[in-house]
Amino acid sequence: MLDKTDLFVADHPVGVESRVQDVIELLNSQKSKDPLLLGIWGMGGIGKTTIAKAVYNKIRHDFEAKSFLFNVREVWKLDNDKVSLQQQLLSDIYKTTQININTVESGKKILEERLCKKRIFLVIDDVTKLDQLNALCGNRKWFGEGSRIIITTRDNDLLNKLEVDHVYRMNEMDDSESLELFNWHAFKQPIPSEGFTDLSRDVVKYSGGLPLALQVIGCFLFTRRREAEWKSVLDKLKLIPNNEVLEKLKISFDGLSDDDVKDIFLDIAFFFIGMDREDITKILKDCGHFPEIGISVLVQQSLVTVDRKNNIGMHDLLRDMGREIVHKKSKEVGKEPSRLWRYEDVQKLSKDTVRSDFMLLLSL
Amino acid sequence: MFYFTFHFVFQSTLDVKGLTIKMSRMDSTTYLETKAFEKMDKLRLLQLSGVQLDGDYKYLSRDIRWLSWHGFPLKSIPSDFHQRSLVAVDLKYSNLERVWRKSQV
Repeated sequence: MLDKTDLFVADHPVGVESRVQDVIELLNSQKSKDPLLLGIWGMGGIGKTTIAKAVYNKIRHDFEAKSFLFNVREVWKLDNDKVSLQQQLLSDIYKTTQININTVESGKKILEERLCKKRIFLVIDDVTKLDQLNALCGNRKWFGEGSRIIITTRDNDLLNKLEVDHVYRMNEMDDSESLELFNWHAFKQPIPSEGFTDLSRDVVKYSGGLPLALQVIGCFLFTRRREAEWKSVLDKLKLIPNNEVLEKLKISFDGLSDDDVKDIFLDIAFFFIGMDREDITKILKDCGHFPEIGISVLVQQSLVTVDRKNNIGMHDLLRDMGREIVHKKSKEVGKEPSRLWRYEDVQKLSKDTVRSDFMLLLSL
Repeated sequence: MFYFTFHFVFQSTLDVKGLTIKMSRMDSTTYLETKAFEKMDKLRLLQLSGVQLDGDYKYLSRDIRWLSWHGFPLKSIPSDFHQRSLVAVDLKYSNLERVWRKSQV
């Protein structure tokens, strides 16, 4: 039966069910009566909120009370809204608007006293700052027996500070999931229309398994049915990232408080993907950066990855974002070279027979 | 064979920290004039692939920390290349036989 209080999850929930099961398994792993805190961690657009919503729909009825605090990063920006988040949490749990919270500090006190009295299920979505966690779920002593708390974030460091019991790391979709999701958006069916199989695979390859990109590009291509159009869209995407995707990914970059870390991110995006972490550290250190801490921060913020062989990786779309940031900035400050222009220039010179990449990293 | 300089691209002194030039078809060689690098005196990271340089290596920045040059064509690194700042060199698929002809230190 459809429950009216169910949250909307996704038009085409591809790959959701298996991930929901993984999360629920982790939530059930606590054998004692203690509350359990779980982080869902991953880069922007990878589907953390989607999974949290689906989990919420599935298990919230097993609890005495529940609350889902959406988009904390945005709401938190205004002072009044900090209190309103605490207020919402309290009224969700107690079904009353009688208790008034005046300041964040008094709000903490009230939440600490009251939350522990019930067995609750709480989701705190898109957390970016420790202050937010302090105000909304201070520490595990705030919560009563059997309670379950999910925090979605791009920042693994926050989860460490809160000492969560588990971190569920969201991974990219595999090729078959990606293809299915894309096809649903582009063709409203799980398989591509005739003649579009290869082009669909190209988009999937470009998206690097990021559901956000598959959805945005799929929707854009839905009304387009000429092969030439698709090819042109793909060619363009390889030079200029889709703006909607870019803006969403850029949040993590903009959130870096330290310019040195930003520089290191850009250096990696331009030059060092796939290289050994120690080698990169040596080079960057010599360039006057502080890569030991910088790279750690980038890993925590899901902007770069380190594999088992200690090689540095970066999602293709994050790499493109980094390159686009430099490209845009160089235009802003009136520094002439632009990647696109150079690229075309070289294409012309070489009569399209050689694929070439020219890139400049400017110190800005 | 393609031969061109990217002189035009870098007419003014630029705060260029890094540069990548990759040409993917290896059977034709692209030559770049080293003089084009003259104005890029802040260059620290240089990545070349499938290209060759033409001219004196002294035009390359003294500040280069990292040189990655896949398909490096020479048997040794030219002595007029300032290598004191180098901390990492990556010359895969190259013809390199010995690193330095004589030490610059």
